[in-house]
Amino acid sequence: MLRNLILFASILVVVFSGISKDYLSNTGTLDSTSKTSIDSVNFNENASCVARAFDFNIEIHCKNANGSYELHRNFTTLYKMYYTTFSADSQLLIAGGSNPQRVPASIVYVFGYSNTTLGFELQQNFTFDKST
Amino acid sequence: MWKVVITNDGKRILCGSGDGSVTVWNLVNGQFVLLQSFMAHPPALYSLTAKSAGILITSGRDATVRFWAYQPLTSSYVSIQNITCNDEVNDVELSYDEKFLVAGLNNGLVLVWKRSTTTGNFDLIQTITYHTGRIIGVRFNAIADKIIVSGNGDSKVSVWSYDPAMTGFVFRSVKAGEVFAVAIDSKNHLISCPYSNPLCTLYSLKLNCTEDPRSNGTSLGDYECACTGAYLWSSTNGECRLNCSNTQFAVSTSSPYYCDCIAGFYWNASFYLCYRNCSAVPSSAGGNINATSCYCGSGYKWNTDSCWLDCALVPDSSGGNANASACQCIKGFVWGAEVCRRDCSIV
Repeated sequence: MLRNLILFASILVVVFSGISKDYLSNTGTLDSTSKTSIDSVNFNENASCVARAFDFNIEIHCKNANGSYELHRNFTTLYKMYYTTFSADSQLLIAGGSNPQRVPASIVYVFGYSNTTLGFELQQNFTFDKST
Repeated sequence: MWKVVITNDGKRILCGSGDGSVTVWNLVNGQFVLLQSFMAHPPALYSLTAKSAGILITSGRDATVRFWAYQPLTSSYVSIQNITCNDEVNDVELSYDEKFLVAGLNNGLVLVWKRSTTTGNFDLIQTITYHTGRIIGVRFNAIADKIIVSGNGDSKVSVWSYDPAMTGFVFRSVKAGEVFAVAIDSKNHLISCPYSNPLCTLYSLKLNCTEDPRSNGTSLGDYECACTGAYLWSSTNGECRLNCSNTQFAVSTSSPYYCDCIAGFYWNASFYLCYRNCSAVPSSAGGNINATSCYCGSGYKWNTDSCWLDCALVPDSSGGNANASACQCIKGFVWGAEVCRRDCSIV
């Protein structure tokens, strides 16, 4: 640990802050009926969908024919949701949350993309006893 | 629970909890089943990241980044490396290919490591000191040439682009405003969500063509600028560069402003052309007549690509050259020691 501390301290602190050649152009917004802040947001592999975890919800927004995101699925849960992400091939969406008033206190949801319904459907969930 | 991730092959889910534990599930016959639960990062785990099943990285309140390797024989993760930082590590993220690791600290620092191809260890390559407050999130895009940083403490989301020449990530853009959760896709689209409300904003990272002096300021799509005059858009370099393919004696361009020239030529910045390097031409006076011709020293004249002896000035010469340094002589004379000499063999 000491060795790593020395290594860290000895490394030159560099800031690469050249001229900005880019700018972030505002292309739209994603709102929600909830008043709660978003804890986690992630794109799927080709950015056709965006998943958000917040409060007791997992939301999936997907692009419509006009290229704009619209609400695709909204899963209400019994656990406060903290994180959500897609698998690399976009076939799975996982989300995790906790509720200290429940036993077990934590849960992971696994949603799979269904070619039948053309949407993400709950495939599995597993609870476990870990606190936030 | 703070973070849950799934490996690139979709066969393992890892979940990090606030109490410092990590719980792992493996995909077996289409269902995820519990593999292992272990105390990884006491007293509090803040983040974890895993792309392949072989390596897991955790971070937490104790200001360390911990590396774990999966041991197939025991079906468990074992600690292999700890890195101590100078503040709590709120988030860690591995690039998709596991070449880079980025961490966001509570004091605003962003640390970037690159994995050594020889040792497999992660070596610190950069400390970004741009943000002045707590970093809440760090994310790579799919090909790991961009990092976005959620500066929750100073209310900024910043974008950094990998520059191989600098072996690090260079600043590209920033957006001020309350920020909490962020994500970036493979086409430089960003989403940023604030802390106080659910209204997320979508952005597209675009080139600011007005800042490229060789562009006419017009954007061609999200990531290309229209260039002026002799310049062409270089998608590799992300800027307008000289069109060296149409420049005689040029081979390429390593700079936006000049072309690299073939051997024996140099870039003439006044005329934007490759000029012959006359100082290296034998018997030259050193200066250029034009791009391809040189002034020659006394007794020499320019011929195609070198200075030739001026045989018209040589006594008893017929005026023609046998080669660059020899003249043809009139009848009864032969070339020798730089003059036409009487051919004594026929006298």
